[in-house]
Amino acid sequence: MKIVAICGLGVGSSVIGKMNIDSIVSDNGFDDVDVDTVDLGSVSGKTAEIYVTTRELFDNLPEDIKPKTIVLTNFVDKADIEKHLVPKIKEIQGQ
Amino acid sequence: MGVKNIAPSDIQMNVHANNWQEALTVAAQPLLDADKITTDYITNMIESVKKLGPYIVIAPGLALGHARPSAAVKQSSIAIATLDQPVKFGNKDNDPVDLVIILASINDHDHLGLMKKIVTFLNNKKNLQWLRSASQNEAEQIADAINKGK
Repeated sequence: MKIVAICGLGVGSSVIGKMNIDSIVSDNGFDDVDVDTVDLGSVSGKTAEIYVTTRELFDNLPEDIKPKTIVLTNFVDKADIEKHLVPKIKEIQGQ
Repeated sequence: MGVKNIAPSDIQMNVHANNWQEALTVAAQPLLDADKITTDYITNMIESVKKLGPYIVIAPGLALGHARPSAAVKQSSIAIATLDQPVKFGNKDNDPVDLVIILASINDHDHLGLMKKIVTFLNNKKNLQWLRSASQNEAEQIADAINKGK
């Protein structure tokens, strides 16, 4: 499974998002989960099962990506990210 | 290899800014003074917010000022500033901002080692509280805590 964190430039917030998601994936023992980052302009070329972004950027996403996207208001709060992300991963993995 | 540590001189406590542009400018000042970035980088950070919106406020009260890696960055670095009075960036969820982190990188990976340490530091709510209430003479201790990856 692929998770992609989206931010404006692909170097800042999405990297922080990726670091927290990597750590959540490892804490929960999920197998075969790959986490990547991308900037808003390149998101169409990046296929994933789950996308993560902020409210400000969500409106700018391509329509086909929106249903697969989790909107986070806090990229630093690992517990909050975990609460949103883990059920989604389990749903997709069919657990 | 990449940059591994934050310099205590790049941490400023209780600085003043009248608006979000000033907040990014004042927080980046130590990097400019130390020739780690040029004034273009500050301009680029501000332009990026104007273009993409205030999404850089990535947590309540916390703005991550950054622009794309470019020739405006001489040395990858991170600066931190707390504001004496919070300013609004126009972010629906996370305004107002009292903590500004400036990220500058020469490429897309040179900053990752230090970023990881900052993220680890910020994951601990006690550290966030400490940072927000700290005075300037604690800058060295804060740098030390970040650099040790606590």
